[in-house]
Amino acid sequence: MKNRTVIVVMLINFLLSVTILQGIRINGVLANTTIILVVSFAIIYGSREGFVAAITAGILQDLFVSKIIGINLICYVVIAVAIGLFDESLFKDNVLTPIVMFVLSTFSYHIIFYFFMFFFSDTLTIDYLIPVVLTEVVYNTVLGVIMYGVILRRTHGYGLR
Amino acid sequence: MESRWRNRIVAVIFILLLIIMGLSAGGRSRITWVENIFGSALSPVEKGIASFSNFVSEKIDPLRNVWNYSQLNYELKEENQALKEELVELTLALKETDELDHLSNQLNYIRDNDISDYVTANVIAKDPGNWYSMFTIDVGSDDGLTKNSTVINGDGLVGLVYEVGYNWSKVIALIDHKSSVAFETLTVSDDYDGLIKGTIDFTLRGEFFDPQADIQVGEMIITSGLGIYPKGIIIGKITEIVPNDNKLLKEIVVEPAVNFKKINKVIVVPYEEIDYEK
Repeated sequence: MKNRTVIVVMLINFLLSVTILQGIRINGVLANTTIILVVSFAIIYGSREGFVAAITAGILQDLFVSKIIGINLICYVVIAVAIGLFDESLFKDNVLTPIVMFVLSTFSYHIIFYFFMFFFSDTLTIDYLIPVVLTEVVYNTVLGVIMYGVILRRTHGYGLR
Repeated sequence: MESRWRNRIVAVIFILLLIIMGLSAGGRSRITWVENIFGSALSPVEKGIASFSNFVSEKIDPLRNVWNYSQLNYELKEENQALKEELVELTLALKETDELDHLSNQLNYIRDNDISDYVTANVIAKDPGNWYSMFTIDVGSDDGLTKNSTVINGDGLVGLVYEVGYNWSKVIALIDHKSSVAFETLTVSDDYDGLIKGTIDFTLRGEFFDPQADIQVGEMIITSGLGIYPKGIIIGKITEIVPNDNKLLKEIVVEPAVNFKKINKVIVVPYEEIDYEK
């Protein structure tokens, strides 16, 4: 898959997630479609596309809607690199793969975010964060499995088992 | 050999990123021209999509509220009556203010809270993460904005401008947990001062400086002019006074006057240094 296509897809995802997707919040919590796309690209296409997607999405999200430049970039790149390490040992058409990967990546995103924000004295209280993170994990996983199935079917012709 | 080079490059880039994070924390007063140009190109697109989604949600909204209409009607009628009574009192107070104004003009006091160079703006993007409450508006330094300009709405105080581009800016909302505002109560006599901070669940928590402040639930609070925000902007209404064994400060919970879930249009007041030697 060409780099251009990945960059365009992440750009469209960013634009939609800051405008239209804001209206579809459950309990105030939004699904992080960027994580879904980065993880899906990394698993289905390989680490190069995952890397490009993570860098594009991280730069976009940092420049426009973030307090501190670079934090989203680091989070998404770490997720993409970690999945790239597992690339050869994943069964890409088993439904458990995206479920486990989405849960782990959402938790890692928030843990890394919290870690960096701790150094800038800008953390949220843990008892606020726990329901938000759990809701986001569930929301991401459900939405993510659907999107992962769609992407898998479009590229390889077979769907999730 | 190759992977050693690669590891070094990754380490250098990581350290560079950490430096960039440290430099940009706290918001910068002037952002780099790369971001500026990129953001100026992206901002009209975001504006288009946001206005489309506002149009759609405006059409859907009446359907969502259809069950509440009779209850809403009853509440509005009661509020109408209360407001009419308040209107009478306020008209009398206004007459008195007019007379005092006339008097002060004759005595040549300088009135220095005229805000005349405000800018209206639309919200074009909201933070897609779940940590903060930031949003982006479609006016920037081309319209005269600077960092720390106040952002308000018809209902009250919305927030503070964090970074400024050519035709876009980032705004931190009041309910973000790092915002704090100095406030005072909106009463004619004995206005007590305090400080209030955002908490994430759309309420504000704060303290009065005077532990014996005589306040009740339901009073409005406004900005007190000490600090970054200009004086006189409505913040919200006190919903709870927290009983506190620590007698140093009196703690309150405030419901903000602005509905932060639905902000579309805001007004920005550029930040001016108040010259205290006048």
